[in-house]
Order: sequence, then C-alpha cells, then structure tokens
Amino acid sequence: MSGPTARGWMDLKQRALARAQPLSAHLELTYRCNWRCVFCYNPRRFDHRPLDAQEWTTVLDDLRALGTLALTLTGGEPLAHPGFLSVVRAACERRFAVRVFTNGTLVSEAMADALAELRPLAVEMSLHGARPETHERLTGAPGSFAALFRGLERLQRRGVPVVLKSLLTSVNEDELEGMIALAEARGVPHQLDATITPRDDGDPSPLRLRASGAAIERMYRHTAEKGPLPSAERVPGGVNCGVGRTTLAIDPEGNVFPCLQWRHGSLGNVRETPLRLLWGDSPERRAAAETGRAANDAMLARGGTLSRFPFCPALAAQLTGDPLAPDEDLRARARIVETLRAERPA
Amino acid sequence: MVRPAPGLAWQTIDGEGVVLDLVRGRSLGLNATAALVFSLLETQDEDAIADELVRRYPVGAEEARDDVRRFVTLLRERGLVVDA
Repeated sequence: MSGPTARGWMDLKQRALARAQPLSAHLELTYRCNWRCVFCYNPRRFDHRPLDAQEWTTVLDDLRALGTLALTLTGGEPLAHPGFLSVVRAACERRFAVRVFTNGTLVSEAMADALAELRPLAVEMSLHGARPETHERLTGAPGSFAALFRGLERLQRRGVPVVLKSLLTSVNEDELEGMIALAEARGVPHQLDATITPRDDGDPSPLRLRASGAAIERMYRHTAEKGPLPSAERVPGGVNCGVGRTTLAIDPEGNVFPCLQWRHGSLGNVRETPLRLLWGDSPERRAAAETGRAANDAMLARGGTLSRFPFCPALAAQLTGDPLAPDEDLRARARIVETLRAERPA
Repeated sequence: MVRPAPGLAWQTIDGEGVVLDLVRGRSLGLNATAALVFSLLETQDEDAIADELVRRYPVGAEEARDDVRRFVTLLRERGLVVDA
C-alpha cells in the first residue's frame, strides 16, 4: 500500500474525467456576507432562501455516492450560514477533504475550536492589501483587516492549516510585495491571482479593477521564484478542464452548475430533483463537458503561448460571448508567462 | 473492532481507493479489494468484512480472515484506523 505517484494521480484523474465523476464540488452555502468586496462575483442579492443544514446533508450523501472527494465550502461568507458547522461536521463524517473559503472575521475562539476538532484540509482566507486602509477599501468593511488576522491567528494557534489568498487589483497592486511579506512573516502559504471576473449575473463592473500588466508581471515573477508558472498540458482529443466531468458547483438555493464559473445553464435544482439524478442525466452537463473538449482543441489550434496556458471556457463565455475565444486580458497574461519561462534557465 | 481514523478523507475512483491523511499530509492508494475492505470498516467488524469477501471473491473463509487481519494491522501501524 502506498500513495499514488504523480503519474498515478494523473491516471486516476483521467479515469474520473472519462467517467464524469465529480471529484471536486464547490458548495456556496449562502450569499450573505459581512464584507462588500467591490470585485465580488456573487450577485448582489440577499433575498434568497438558502438550503438549510439538513438539505445540504442530503446533497452531501449524493456527492459521496457520485464519487466526490474534495469539497469546498464557500459563499458569500460560509460562516454566516446558521448551519455552517453542522455542514462541516456532516462533510467530515462522510470523509470528504473539506476546504473552507472565508474572510476570517467570524472565526471566534469557539469557531476555531470547532474547526480544529473537525480537521478541514485547509481554511483559505482573503487578504486584499498590506495596509488596513487598502484591504478595507476593497472589502468595504471597516475593521476587516484586524479581524482577518485575529481569525487567522486563532486557527494557527490550534494547528488548523490556513492559506492566505490575494486577488491582485489596481487598488492593491502597489502592495503586492507587502502582502507577500505579511504572509511570509506568519509562515502562511500565500496564493496570488489576478483573475477578476464579471459578477455571476453578468454585471461587468468588477473588471474595471483589473491590475496593470506590470503588476501582473511582478506577480508571476514572484510565482516563478517559488515554483512552477501556470501551464496547461493539452493533447489532441483531450479535455481542457473538468467542467461537466470532474467539477460541479451548487449555489445557495440549490441550483447545480457544471463548475463554479459556469452560470449560463443550470442542471436543475436539488430541491426538485436529487443531485445524483441531476448529474447523470443532465443534457446541460453533457453540453458543458463537450465545451471542455472543444476548448482543448480550440486552444491547441491557436498554437504558441495560448496552447500552453490555462483557459476557462466559462469565463471566456462571459467576457467574449464565445466559450472558445480567450479575451485580451488572458492573451496578455499568457505572453507574460511565456516571456518569463523563456528567461528561466533550462 | 476498528474504524477509519478521524482526519481521513477517501473516495473510490474507478474501483481503486484514494485515502488522504489530512493530519499527516500523506496519501495512499488502495487496490480494488483493499478499497472495499476500507469502505466496509466504516460500518462492519473484521469478521463480517471477511464474510463479504468470501461472498464476492473466490476465496476461502480462513484466507479472507487472514487477509483482513493483515490489512487492518497495516492500517493500524500507519495510524489509519482506531479502536471503535
């Protein structure tokens, strides 16, 4: 008995892709949030009736049966769901590897105790600036910077694995190095991203916050110092990503989507049809999966830098109206990464 | 009687098992039979699991019991099961 090798993992992933086994699921527990991030992709609506803990538990049973291994609890702010801990407990009992995406401000001492007992794979927290003013300008929540670090320290003291994540924007790009230093000083893994998306309802206003090309280059230079640059291994006849095959997402009201980004066609609602039936029978899922295959071939056909760069067809559909057509922002980032790759010693 | 330890995540992919030890940061691969035994440990004792193996595979009762016992010993050494 031993752990799968990297090749073994790839083989298992390929088999999951072929079987349309949703290894990874994002559950948006609620749209409620105590921050008002200007770039947030959630629609600005708080009138929904989210699934309660019992309904989510039924979903978890179906996910287990469908073959899900990795579960991400997100929102909104998932800790704002009144049944959050019940859902985490049910997920851990069902042997999922659970990640929690949170802004950290609701991590009280009691919440930290509970999470330490439940042992999630990771709690990932959002850092949006090296200075409180910058962070809070983006979150729209006074005091959120200090509250984030209070929550983070509570989890760290208890040995809960934590990760900081920063979205690079035009507002915080001058503090990129400062955010990196903050994470390093606390010994916390730090993930950087510059992908700003329209809201799920199509509102493009967050896009005006995109970081500059120079800042994105600095971000990728830092990435290159720490590890591999973003890349995609594509082969003819392969698939671009797990959309409709190994990923799924469920919004707070129970609508099921073939990935977190894909919002232009729901597979159905778990309040009306059990998830295990929705997933297998859905023509929308199959259409999304076929888009994933077409996107692979389309990116290969473009050749050059784009053929080797990660691509999200769901985001492309939002940005260009065509799930097979990358927007200029992605093209620019692919060029930056290719330039940096060429600078690296062989 | 033993149960899979707290802090483990696992799933079956095309008949094979993948176990993630979230406490120690390790992963383990299981063949189809081991994956079946591991899944049954959630609810059954070792004798019942051996009986299930006899029902599913061309194996005698004694051999099945020995196989389950050896596998559980291996899991115990790696901290992947605890006494229930």
